[in-house]
Amino acid sequence: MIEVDHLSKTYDDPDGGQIYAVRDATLHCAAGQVYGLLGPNGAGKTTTLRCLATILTPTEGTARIAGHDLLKEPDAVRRSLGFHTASTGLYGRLTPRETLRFFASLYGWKAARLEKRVEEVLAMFHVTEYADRANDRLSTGMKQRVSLARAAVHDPPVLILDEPTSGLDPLVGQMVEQSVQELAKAGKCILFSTHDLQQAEDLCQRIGVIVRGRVVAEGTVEELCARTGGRNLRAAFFALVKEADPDYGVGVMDAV
Amino acid sequence: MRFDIVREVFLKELRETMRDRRSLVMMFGIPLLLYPLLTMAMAGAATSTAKKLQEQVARVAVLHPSEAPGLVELLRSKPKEVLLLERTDAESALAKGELEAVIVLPEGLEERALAGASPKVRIRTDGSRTGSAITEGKIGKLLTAYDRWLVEQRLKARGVPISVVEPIGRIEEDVASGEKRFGSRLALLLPMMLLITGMLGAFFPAINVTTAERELSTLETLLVTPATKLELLMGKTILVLLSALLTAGLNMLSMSLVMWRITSQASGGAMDFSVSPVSLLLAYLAAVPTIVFFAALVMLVGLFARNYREANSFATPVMLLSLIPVLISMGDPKATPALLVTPCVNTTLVIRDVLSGRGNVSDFAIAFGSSMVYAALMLSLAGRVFSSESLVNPSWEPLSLKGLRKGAREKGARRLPEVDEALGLFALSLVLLFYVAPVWMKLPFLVLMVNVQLFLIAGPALAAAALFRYQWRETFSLAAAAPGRMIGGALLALGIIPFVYGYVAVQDRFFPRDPEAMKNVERIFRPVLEGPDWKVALTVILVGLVAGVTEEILYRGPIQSAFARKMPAWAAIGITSLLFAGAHMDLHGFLPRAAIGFVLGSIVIRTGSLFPAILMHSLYDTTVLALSRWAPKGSVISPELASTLPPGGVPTLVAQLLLGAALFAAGWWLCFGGKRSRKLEPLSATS
Repeated sequence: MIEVDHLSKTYDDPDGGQIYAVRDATLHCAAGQVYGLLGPNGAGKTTTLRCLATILTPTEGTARIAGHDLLKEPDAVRRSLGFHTASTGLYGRLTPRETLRFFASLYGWKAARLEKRVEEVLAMFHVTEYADRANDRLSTGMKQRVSLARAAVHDPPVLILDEPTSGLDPLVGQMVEQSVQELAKAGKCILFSTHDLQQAEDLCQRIGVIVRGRVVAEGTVEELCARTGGRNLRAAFFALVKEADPDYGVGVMDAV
Repeated sequence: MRFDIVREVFLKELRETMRDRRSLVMMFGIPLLLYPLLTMAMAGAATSTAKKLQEQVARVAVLHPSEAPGLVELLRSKPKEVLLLERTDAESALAKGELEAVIVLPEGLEERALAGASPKVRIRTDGSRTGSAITEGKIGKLLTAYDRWLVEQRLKARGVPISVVEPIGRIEEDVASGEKRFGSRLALLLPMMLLITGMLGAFFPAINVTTAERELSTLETLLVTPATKLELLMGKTILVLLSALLTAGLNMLSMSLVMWRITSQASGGAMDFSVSPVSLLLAYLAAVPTIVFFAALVMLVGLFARNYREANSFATPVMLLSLIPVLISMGDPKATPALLVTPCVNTTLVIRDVLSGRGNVSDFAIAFGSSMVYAALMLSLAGRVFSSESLVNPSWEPLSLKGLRKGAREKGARRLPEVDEALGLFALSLVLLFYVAPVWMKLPFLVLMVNVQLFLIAGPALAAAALFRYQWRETFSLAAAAPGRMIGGALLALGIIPFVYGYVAVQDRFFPRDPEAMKNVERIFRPVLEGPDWKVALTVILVGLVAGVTEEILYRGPIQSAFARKMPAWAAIGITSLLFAGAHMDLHGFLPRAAIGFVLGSIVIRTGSLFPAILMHSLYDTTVLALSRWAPKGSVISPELASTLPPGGVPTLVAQLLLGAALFAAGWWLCFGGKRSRKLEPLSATS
């Protein structure tokens, strides 16, 4: 469902030259799978996800999303994916129901089919109860659920979720995790970035670790542990980051 | 572009705006409530103060009253105007404000004046006090009456009748109607009001649809949908423009009503101070492109700003721009061609002329057309920024100068021109033509013509290509053309001439040309067409060649190729032709030039080469000039453009048109027949 092929993204350095945000990233994620993208801050996770969501254009390489090439068929790619990040906001003066209607209409849904789908998604993410309250008046957790519902409203086969549980209390976080699992069970391919290593271990069938713009390791939790000799994902992750970037977090990781 | 998506985006923005109290107050509250109340209150206060001062009796002291008993008697006879007080401390009373004026009489004033001398009376007032001018006026009037009494006495003493010094009587009448006078007063304020209120109306919606989207990170959620950036921007822009135009319109109505009421009250109902709805509508229409320009400018500012605070501080200097028309209208300048193509100023002038009944179609068209170009330029700039990936990059610093460093610019690959650059080039050429060309007017015709064509028309296009690193071959369609295509271009030029002349002859019957303007054209071209045949022939060939080469370089070069990448070929050719025809600033020749431009544009798109178009353009210009010297008088193809039939009658006319049609058809077949030489670059899927 998601096949990333030697993808790179560079930015112009104001002081001259190029800065690599993502360098030669390659990863694969299948339908019904939750793929966890892990990495320290600034490693290139968000840039990778934004490239896959067509918000940014990769400078080298490409990717296929649900069989569509990112560069050649960006429109088909957009139709096939839902994108959500912890930082993306909602229109404060619209209600959850209006928000979902608006986004579904941008995907070409109309009339009765649109209304039916909106009600379905409201129920799926437990938002029906406050569906007519202005988004500005919702709590952070409620907003996050509306935001997830927005990403899934057009029933895309692929979902890209960038730290969807960051800033949420454990209960809402749990609810989001459940939703992710249900979506994966329904056959969706989910690319998921997080800093919560326990959550990644619980939720993800495959993990990719990205450091300084490069995907340094990819596999199941067991494979990563076996490769690094770590007893759990946490240990494996620290070992991989240290191996790729010995200067990162000197002192902190030695203590672990 | 899918209009249902644009509609959805527009409706969503509309819903949000309608729930935003700040926008509503700006749009409806200010024009409908605050503004009339404030103006009425201010005007009411000003009128009542003036009235009070006028009615107030001026306290006056006369020093040495015995020197002019006649004057003192006169002052005493007007108790409603002045109150004569006897003060010994007159000077200090004046300083304290206990007196409004002190009249100082010289020794033996009346006696000397009657004897024929001219002694001086001194009137002392305190100019720092309100109403001192009114007091001066009152005393002045009384002194004039005294003056007249003295003259009468002098004449009487000599036995001369008073009518000797009044050879004529006079009746003063203002020929301006109430409407014109009200219009010219309204014209001082209206342009500024329209632009400022338009901007205020645009401000909150523009910030909502741009800065707020970035600040709340909702922009990303839109960019991942299948809606294209153009569709998103279009839906948002429609809302901002509607809001700006609605706010400006409501304000205009409200302000006209308020001013009408105040002016009528001030005149005591003696005059009809209503302004015709047609003039108001025309004034509003004239402002529409400039309001769009400013609304797009505010959107651009909104796109550059990372948050609401930044947007606010960026917008303040932009708001000040709308004060420029006020400064201009204070000088009350004449509507010269240069001012008529100057952004913002042109709107001010046209509104003034429309409201004071001095407007004309041609000025209106020039100002409206050029303002449309500036509005389109600003909208396409906003489009460019909206399409930029940097918009979702939180660390983007659009106003940073770092990126402009030499090294950063030079390493980019060569590219094709963008729409905003094309519009910018056109606007630059237009402004240069009207500001620089008049300075060169003293030069000999040929030098002037070559300078203008080379430096003001082709120059900007070539400079832009070098500066922005355009791909020369693609931008200027520099592919070689087959001989058949070249011959086709030549035949098209010759074939179209009888039709253009015929059309202009018909048009002249319904929409005659201004004889003054015709004389001007003749004066410019006379030196070219006088002298020995060989010299005239060489000159017209040179003029045609220079015009053809330079104008094709600009119009069918970067301008048309920029549009052709963003829209269907017919639309790109159409827009370019309208710009091409508009730049000639001749309303009467607009349609024929647009038609010729369309043929020229089609040739370049079809053949992929600029050269047949250059040949057609040059040959057309040369032939038209040559005909004005050598064509037999009275034929359709003579420049007198006989509104009567040619000497041969209908058969000659039909024969000329048929010949033209045959040449045109042959040229068409040669240029457009066979295989297409070049494929246009497909539309980019992300744009």
